[in-house]
Amino acid sequence: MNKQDNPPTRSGDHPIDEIADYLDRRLSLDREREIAQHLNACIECADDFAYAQDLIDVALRSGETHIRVDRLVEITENLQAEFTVPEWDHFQICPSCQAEAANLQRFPDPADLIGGDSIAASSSNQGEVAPGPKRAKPKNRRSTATEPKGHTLTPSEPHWPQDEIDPRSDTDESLGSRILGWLFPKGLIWVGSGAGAVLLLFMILPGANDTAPLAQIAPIAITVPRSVPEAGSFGERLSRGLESYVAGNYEAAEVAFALAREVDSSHVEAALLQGSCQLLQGETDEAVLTLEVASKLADTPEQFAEANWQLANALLLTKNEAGARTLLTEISGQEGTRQAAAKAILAALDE
Amino acid sequence: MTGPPNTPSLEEAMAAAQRGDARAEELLAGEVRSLARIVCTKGQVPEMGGLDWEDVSQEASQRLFRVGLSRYRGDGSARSYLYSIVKVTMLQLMRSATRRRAREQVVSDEEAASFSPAGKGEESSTMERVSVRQILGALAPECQELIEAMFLNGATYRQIAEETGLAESSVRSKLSRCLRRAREQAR
Repeated sequence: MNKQDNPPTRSGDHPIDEIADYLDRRLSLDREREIAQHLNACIECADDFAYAQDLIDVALRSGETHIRVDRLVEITENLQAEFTVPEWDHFQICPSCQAEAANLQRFPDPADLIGGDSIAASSSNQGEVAPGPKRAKPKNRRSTATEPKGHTLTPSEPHWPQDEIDPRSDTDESLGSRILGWLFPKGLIWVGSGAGAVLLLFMILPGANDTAPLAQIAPIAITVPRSVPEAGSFGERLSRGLESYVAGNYEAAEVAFALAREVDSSHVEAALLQGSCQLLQGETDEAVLTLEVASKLADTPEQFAEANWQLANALLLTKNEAGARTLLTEISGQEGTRQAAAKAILAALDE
Repeated sequence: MTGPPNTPSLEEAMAAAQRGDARAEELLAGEVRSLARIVCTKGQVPEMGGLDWEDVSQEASQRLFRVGLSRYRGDGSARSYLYSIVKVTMLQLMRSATRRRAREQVVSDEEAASFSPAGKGEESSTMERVSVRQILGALAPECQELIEAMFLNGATYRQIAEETGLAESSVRSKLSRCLRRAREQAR
């Protein structure tokens, strides 16, 4: 029997009216599989879908379209993902896609952001961004894009979503891997960013005023709980902040503490540590505001002393010597871990 | 400092949301929101200017619950998966904004020749070979525009329906007809 006479579809309909969603991976996985099964059995639909895919490939090569965003994300995240030949042809001559791919590399890694898992470290869903079935390494396959007027996929030649082989990945080698080497010197970006931040801090601090060199900016000693708090909860956000803080990623920690404070605005430690992060990043004005809040919220002598100590240092950096003196005098009058340091700064100020 | 007792991880929340657990969906939406905010406020992407993180968050949540959730198979990091969705959404919005600006430009100077459907026309002249416009040349302009919008510009059926005032189902059937016509002409 001719397959086309009785294609096994969900409802007997041809899925041609879902073609754009299918090619753009905007369908649910179940529906995508149903369509793939249909394409495997229905020549007419397979022709239509292949023709549409060929149009896209031609457009890629002629510059009339660009590589889909989810594909760029997939390829930049996953060394196993590969450009198809038309995508690669396009990429080589398209500055816009190159720029977007480079931008993608500038997005912080989740591990850097939140002290959590890393995209690079997790492979299972990397290829599924906007999703798509997990794919095996693409097989070599003749490019179809040079034949825009005829279909090239036949029912016996599985379409990509069906059996985990993407026909668009008709590459001879790992092109994704290839470009990553020359286009995205990620390590350099991060090292450069870090060095820039440090340099900026050194440029800002001495220039602020004469009291700035007296400031003692250092992370607060903390411990990170081992529990796994509920996703999205205050505890989880705080934990992320603590992890990033301990790891020295104050930028990510600051965001995490800020998010935690969105849930509980009266949490002393979240405010204190957010202020500390800001201070450590040279965001002195923001640090003053945050640490003032922390100081007001403090409900134990230790919290109060630490908040005031951090605030005093922030004030030293913002030309507010009087404010810093007041706080340092208060700290130096009470026994505590910051007492000696406060006295030393006061003595230096007097000189 | 101590955290609350052990509670569902993101992976568990994904699985629960796949089963329709409203609480889990809420948690995931919160996570997407956090990631969108982090990426938009702390990302170092110069072209991101003007992009509102709340827009990204909203779009990313829609993408997650419309398609992404059903595609997550639970064998990888849920956070990385959500993060990818946020990034895709963000870049998609950036492209859309670029396309919008390009369209406005075209309308204002009537220099249609410089208009690239993807909104990034600067490199088109450096690319040659047969173009889709040549292939579709024999089609009615309406069909050409529809095919280009859907397959080259990444427009959705809903977007086209909104722009043209047609029902979404009409757009679907119209695209099918145009595509079949194009293929018949190519034979």
